[in-house]
Order: sequence, then C-alpha cells, then structure tokens
Amino acid sequence: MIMTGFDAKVALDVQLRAAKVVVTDLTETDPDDGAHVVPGVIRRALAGLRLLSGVPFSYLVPDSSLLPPESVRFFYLNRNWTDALVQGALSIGTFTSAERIQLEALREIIRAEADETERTIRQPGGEERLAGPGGAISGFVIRSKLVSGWPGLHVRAYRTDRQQDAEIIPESDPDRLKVLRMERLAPAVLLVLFDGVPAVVHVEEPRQGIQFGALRPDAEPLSTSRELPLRDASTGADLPGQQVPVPFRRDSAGVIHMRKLRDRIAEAPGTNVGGHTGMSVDANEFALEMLRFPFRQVFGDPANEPSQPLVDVFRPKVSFATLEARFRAVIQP
Amino acid sequence: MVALGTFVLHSFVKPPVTAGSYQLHGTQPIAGITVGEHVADVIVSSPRYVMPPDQILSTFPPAMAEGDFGGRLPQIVLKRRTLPWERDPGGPPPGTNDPPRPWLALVVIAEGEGALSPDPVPVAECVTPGEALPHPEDADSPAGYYLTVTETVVKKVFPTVEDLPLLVHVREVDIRDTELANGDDDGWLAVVLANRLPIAVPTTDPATGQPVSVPVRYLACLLNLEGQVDVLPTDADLATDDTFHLVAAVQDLRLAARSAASTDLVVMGTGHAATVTNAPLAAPGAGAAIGQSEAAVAAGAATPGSNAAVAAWASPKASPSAKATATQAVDAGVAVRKEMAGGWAIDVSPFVLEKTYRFPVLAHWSFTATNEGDFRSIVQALDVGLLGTQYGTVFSADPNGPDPAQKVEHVNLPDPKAPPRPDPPELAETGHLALPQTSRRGDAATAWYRGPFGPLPTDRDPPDSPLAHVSDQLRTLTPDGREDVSLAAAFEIGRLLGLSQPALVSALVQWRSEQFGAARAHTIADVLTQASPFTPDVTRQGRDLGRLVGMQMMNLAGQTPETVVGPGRPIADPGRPIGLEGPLDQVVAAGLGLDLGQLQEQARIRGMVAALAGTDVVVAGGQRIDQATLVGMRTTLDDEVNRVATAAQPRRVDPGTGEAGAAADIPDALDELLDAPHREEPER
Repeated sequence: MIMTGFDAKVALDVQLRAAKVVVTDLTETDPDDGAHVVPGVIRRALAGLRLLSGVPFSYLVPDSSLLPPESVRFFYLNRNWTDALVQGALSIGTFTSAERIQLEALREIIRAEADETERTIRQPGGEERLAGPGGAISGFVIRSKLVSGWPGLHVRAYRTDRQQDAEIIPESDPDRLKVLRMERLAPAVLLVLFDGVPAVVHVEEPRQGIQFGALRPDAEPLSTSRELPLRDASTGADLPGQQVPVPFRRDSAGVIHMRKLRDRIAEAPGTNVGGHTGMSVDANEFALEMLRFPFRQVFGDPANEPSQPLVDVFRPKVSFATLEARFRAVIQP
Repeated sequence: MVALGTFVLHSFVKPPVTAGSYQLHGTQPIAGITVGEHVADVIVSSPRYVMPPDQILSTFPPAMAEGDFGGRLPQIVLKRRTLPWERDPGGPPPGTNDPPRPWLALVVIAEGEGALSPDPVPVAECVTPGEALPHPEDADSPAGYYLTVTETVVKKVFPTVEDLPLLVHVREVDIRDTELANGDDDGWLAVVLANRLPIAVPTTDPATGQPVSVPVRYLACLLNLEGQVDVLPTDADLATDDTFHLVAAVQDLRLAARSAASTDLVVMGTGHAATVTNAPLAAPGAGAAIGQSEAAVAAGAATPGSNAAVAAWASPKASPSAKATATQAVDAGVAVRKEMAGGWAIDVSPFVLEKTYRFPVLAHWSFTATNEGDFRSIVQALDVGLLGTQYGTVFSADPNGPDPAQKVEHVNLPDPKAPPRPDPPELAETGHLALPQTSRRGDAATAWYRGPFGPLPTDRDPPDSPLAHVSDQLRTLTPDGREDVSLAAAFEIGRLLGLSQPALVSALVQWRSEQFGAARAHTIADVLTQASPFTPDVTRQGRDLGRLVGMQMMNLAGQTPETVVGPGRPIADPGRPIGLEGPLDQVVAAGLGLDLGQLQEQARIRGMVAALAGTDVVVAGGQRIDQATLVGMRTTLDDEVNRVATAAQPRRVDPGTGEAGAAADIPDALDELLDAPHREEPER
C-alpha cells in the first residue's frame, strides 16, 4: 500500500486514535475504579484479604486469654503480615520460573493498587471516595454483650480529640479516620479497622429514637432503685449533680409513683417546672426530665492520663530486655 | 418550624371538638322573609377500638425485642398530635386549670398479670360486662381486642387518674431529621408513655451463688379508658417506696388458672399428663421466668405435669404458630400478633374471684426484659487494653485504691473469689506468642507466632523487597533457636483463602496468561518515552509500540497543554469600553431626548418618578422605516452572521497543499485511509 501525502501530523493522528484502543487493551477500566493494571476481581479480592476478610479468628487472636469476655483490645495492624497473606494468594497458579519472574516484576504495581483499593472496600453512602497511598492501619476488636445486645453500634475514630463537638463530621473530614472494615465476626465479637491511628474512639449506643427513663445508680445492673438526673425545664440544660431517687409503688414491680416523682422534681431547686396548668409538673416538662440520650463511650490514649502509664496497660511476660539478654546469650556465648 | 436537629415538647394539643355526633344549625335572618333552618348532622370520627397502623410511628421497646429496658419507659409514638385528646374519657371532673385528660393510656403488664383476648370480639364485649360506652354506634371497627385484668393489677400497675395527663405529651420535631420522624408529614407527634419500668428479676443462682437475672416478658397495651376512668387508682391510696419490689408479676393469673384447671382435671381423672412443659403458655425464652414460682404452686396443688392439658384447656385452639403452619393460609400479621400475645392468652373468667375489668386494646406488642446491664454499665466495665494484654484496665471501684467507693480506671486484678484465670501463655513484648508446635521431624516444640494485630506499630517492608513464592521463604529463626512462623502462616492461609474461591483462581490464571505481556510492553514503553518523548522510532519497534508512544504523547500533551499546544484562549473577551461624557443623568436625558432642566425642576416639586410619569415619550424622527432600508439592514445582518460563522468554523490543513481550508468537502489522506476497507477493490 502506497500512501501519498502522509506526513508526520497524519501519522500522529492515526497513532492517537490507535492509542485509545490500546488503553482499553492494556489496562482494565473499571466503571467504579478507573484504570488499573490488576483486574478488578483480583484487586478487590486482594484488598479484602488485606482487611483480613475470611481469615480464621484463631489466626487473628491466637490465644483466648488475649481477648477475655467483656473486653476491648486495640491494636496496630502489621502490614508485613497482610502482605504475606497477599503473597500467598498471588502464588496460586505460578508453576514456572517465568511466571514467578513476571509476578516479581509486577509486585510493586500490585502492592500499590491493592493499597489504593483497600479504601474502596467499605464505602458508606454519601461519603466521598478517599484515595492515597497505603498508610498505617489500626483498630480494635471487642468481645462483649454490647455487640450482641446493641446491634448497630456507632463507631467513630478521630485523629484529634473533638469530644466537645456534638456534631457528627463525615468520614472524609481530615480530623476523622475512615473505617476500613467494621464487621461482626461472631454474635458478640466486633472487628473494626481504621485508616490511621486515632487519638480517640467513640462507641455510641444505637440511636433508635428518643427514649425516656431513669438511670441505675452507679451502674449496678441488679440495683432495685433508679435515679433521675434533673434538667432546667426553662432552658433544657442539665443541672449537674442534681438528681432525685425515683419513687415506686409499694408491692408493684417497677411501677413508678408518678405523683411523688413529680413532687420531687418540682421541689428540686433550679428545675423551673410548673405554673402553666394546675399540675406541679406539666407533661412536656416531665418528658424533658425523663429524656435519655444515647450513651457515648470515649476511648482515648492511656498515655494522656499520667496516672496510668502504658506499662500498666500492656504487660507481657517476656520483656524486650529479657528477650535481648536471652538472644545475646545465644549469639555471643 | 423548629431549628435543625432540635425538637420542642408540648404538654397537650386539644382539638376544638371531641369525637362524636354533632348537629349544625344554620339560620339566615332576613327581614320580612322566613328562611327555614338548615340542620346538618356532622360526625367527628376518631379511632376507638383499633389504632390504624398508619397512625403508629414507632414503639419502644421494639416489638419482640429482647434487652435490658429496666431504665427506660416503654412508649408509643402516634402521628396525629390531637389523637390522645380526641375523646372524652369521663371520670371525675378536672380542676379549672388542669390540663385535658387523655383517653389513651399505655399499660405494661408482665406475663400472667392479665389476659388478652385471643381473637377480636364484637366491640360491645370489649368493655367490662355491665358497662356500655356512650354512643355505641361510634365504632371504627366491628371487632377489637380487649385486656382482662383483676382489680389488684389495676390498683398496682395502671396509671392513676392524676397520672394520665402527665404520661402523654406532644413532640414537635424537625422533619429534616429523619431519625426522629421517618414518614411523618408535619413533624408533630403524640407520645404516650407507660408508667412502668420493664424490669427483669434478679435472683441468685443456687449453683454458683452469683446473682443472675431472669428475663420477663411484658405486654404493652394501648388502652381506651373511655367510661372506665373511675376504676383507676388515685394518688391518695397508693403507698410508695424508693426501691421497687422484685417480683416478676404482681399477680400471676396463670397459677390460679392452673390450679383451677388442674382440680377440674383431677376430678375428671385426666390431669396426669406426661411432661412438665409450659411451652404453649409461655413464649420461647420466658420459660425460666416463671419456672421457680410455678414449680412451687404446682407442687402444692399436687398435680405436677398437667401443663400440656392446661394449655389445651386455657386456649382451646392450637397454639398460634402450629395453626399458622397447619393451615398455611393464615395472615402472617395475625400469626405474629397471636404469637406475641401468647403469654397472655388465659381464660380468666371461670376461676378469678375478684372483680375483673375489661379494657379495649387499640394496639399491643410484647417484648422481653433481661437484666444484662444497660449500655453504659457494660461499656464502662469493659476490660480495656492493647492486644497482647491479658487483663487490662477496667473502670470500676478499685479494691486496692485509696477510696474503695470511688470508681476509677485501674488494673483488672483477679477477683480472689472468682474461679482462677487461665495462665497467660508466653508472650513477648513484641506481641509474639509462644505456641506449641510439632516440627516437620515430629518433635514437640514451641514456635513464636504473632498475628496481624500487635501492640506496637511495625515498619512495613519497602515495596521492592523480594516476593515470597512459597511459605518456607518466610520462616525465620529467632536467636533463641525457636522458629517464628507468623509470616509463613499468613502466607499459607492467604494461599488457602485464595484457592477457596474458584473465581479468583481462574481470574489469576487468566490475568497471568493475557495481561502479563501487555503489562511488560507498558513498562518498556514507559522507559522509552521517558527517555525521549518526542522522537520515537515508530517503524523499528513494531506496531504496538508505536501506538503506545502515541498514547504516551497524548498523555503528556494532556498534562501540560499550555507548553505543548499553546496557551488556551480566554473563555470571554473583554467588552468594548463605553465612553460616557459628562454626568450620567445628562447622558441618559440626552439619549432619550428629554429636557433635563425641565425634568429636574418638575422633580423638585413632585418627585422624580412623578416627573417622569408626567413627561411625554419623545418619538425619534417620527417616521416609519421604509421597505428599502429594511432590506438593506437585513442583508447587512446576514453578511455579518455568515462572516462570524465562517470564522468560527474549524479549519483543517490540506495535506497536499499545506493550505488551510474548510475541511468539509475535500477528502484528505486520513479519510482515504478510513475509507480503504470499504472499497470494493482495494488499491494495491
């Protein structure tokens, strides 16, 4: 074929058209993810492995005494361990040296793309897609009645302590850490992985709507009395330290003696109740006093509290010094 | 409208009229003419025996829920704010300043304290026999459920007359906050609270001596109190305590039912059934709740083991679930309702000696209260630590602390009374754990293992560190002679997890065969184009590489178009400056042909608007445009439009001559190339 008038510009034009075809040939273009070298099926499977999906629990927590009942354990994720996990999966189907060399040549690309995909495994609706190189991962595992009794716990991690803020900031906020994985591994075991190392972690009671009630004194589960912390009915603000015992009808299981309760509320100073109708406490004021908000537990760094140094929190049997001495004795007889 | 994320509580919202029949009389007095009176019958309706499901927004605790609700009052949220005040319940006249009395009350009864009718009955039978509600024709449903309770239960559990207004309030919420009012239209809700905390019964386990709790099932009923307010207790005759009485039910009718029925059965000689089970009476999970007290009574009646027969006696029909499975055609909603009411399906009338009352039940649901501790007490008692910690810190009273009553965070030391804790395994400060290992030669040894979770941050190997192909490459030996199999174990489990998914295996194999070559070409192209992006030797490296170079160049050009292609044209050109000579009002007046001086003088007297309104519009020239001028103007406009369109049209370089021209008609080399496959006889 002889082409006349075929100069460099036309050649370039043809090449550009051809290049578009090659782009689709070379890289897998995922409608969700964009262009990647590693196919989406493999990439997501590897990222899922990185987040330990499917890994038997005894591999995660090798001894039951490390996670006793009613406990929460925070941890740093060992990236080398999860990389070894991924290497194991990648080794499937490598029969010849050529295949292994090919795999070896691609290992950096695979690792970088799996790092990127980790953040796309869990994407709550309405949240922005976050991207970036793989960093430190931390998390906690909790084994408690909380997990089975309160399905739908809210877990949020913050890079800086924002306890004062009542607002809930989105996961893409720089002060908040993305939750990479939150899954119940067993009815009473919850695993949470964070994209980074948080300063504080909030665990909050599920918000099933507004509830009314009274508190157990001193959090004794079997107590037969209840206390009602008071609020100022004119402003809705809490009255710190002010509470009244809840009166019950004699010989009735748990039936509140309303008349006496509202008299006690009315007698307490600072509650500013009554006066609108003939009753000492109006129905809306009573509801305000009885209103209970979801409880939020804040886990912080124990190092923040000078009375509790880290050594009290983590007490291994074999210390670094012992290990070193033992190893030196072997190495330098 | 309330502010975002807030709500307002109101004591009551009283409707102008309550439900009932009304007559509207209309007269029109006109002098000299007699106009007949207009009489219209108006019926104001409201739910009476059945609460329509669309009026119920939510309940707490949720139906069939199980949990520690001992610190929370059950509640039902209704959508129409006036609903609790739409009927007059009667009763003693309230004081002049008292709030209106609602006709609805939420009553929570434990299993055995009352009986819920198993099936809907005609509404006339829903009230205490002998009573009749006013206006019986005002019924929203032909049949309804009713609750039968004894006078004892009414006195001990039901709210007092004075309590009724206190237990109902209206909440105005921000409807944008969907957590509070999903599905509600105006954000106004009526909330009916119960007066009883659903407690479980703590008891002592005889085997261990530890306190345990027995779950208790509760039934929450939204009752219609119309005409029966007088039977409610009053504040005056109620004693009070600061602690509640620990009993599962204030009165267990099932015991009475059992003894009565058993006696009957004994007389008839059929009372000795084989097994002790209260399954048809008690719902699943509630068996333990009533086990203790029942056992005692059953023994006293000397007829143990008649429960199955009693069940058949108490509820002649089969149990709801059995019936549902048997007929296959029972409405699922009905089956669930019956299941929920299972513990309250007692036939009360034959054996209870005291007076019983019936109340219409508009809505009911059941739930189970346990005593596991509430969220706060459980979460604060958690043992907190880093993974690797065997026993961390707890937030509770420290027996060794300076103040044993003060709750502080302290080390979770073993309780001397508790059973001994397991010995901690050998655990290094790095998080490694010594686990028993059988070596490949069969020797029993210990090996170090650390899972993915550790108490200390670890460094990640650099990206170019060698890749392991078999797990043995990751086995390491620590200086004390023991193996560290952490990474080898991770490799193996990763391999097994991968192999467990056939789709992943086939994807890996396919990727390897197809894509590795492409990726290699990609890498080579990267190297080549990075070295000299603009001088590729297209012919030597073959077709694919040429395409790659083109792609690379396009990418480079796309990244920095201003250096490769040239600076972009601004989106909009600045407009022509408008020259204004002199003050603005003079310019405007001159342009419109107005006499500014006269206008200003008028404006001083009447104001500028009035002055303008009073001035005639100046007509320019006073002549019409003739046809010839119009044609001339049109031609000029068409020429200008054509000129702009031609200038805006993209031009392409003619490859033969190098001249720029309109590319629409003249086929160039590329067109030839594109057309080549379509020609019948290719040019050779």
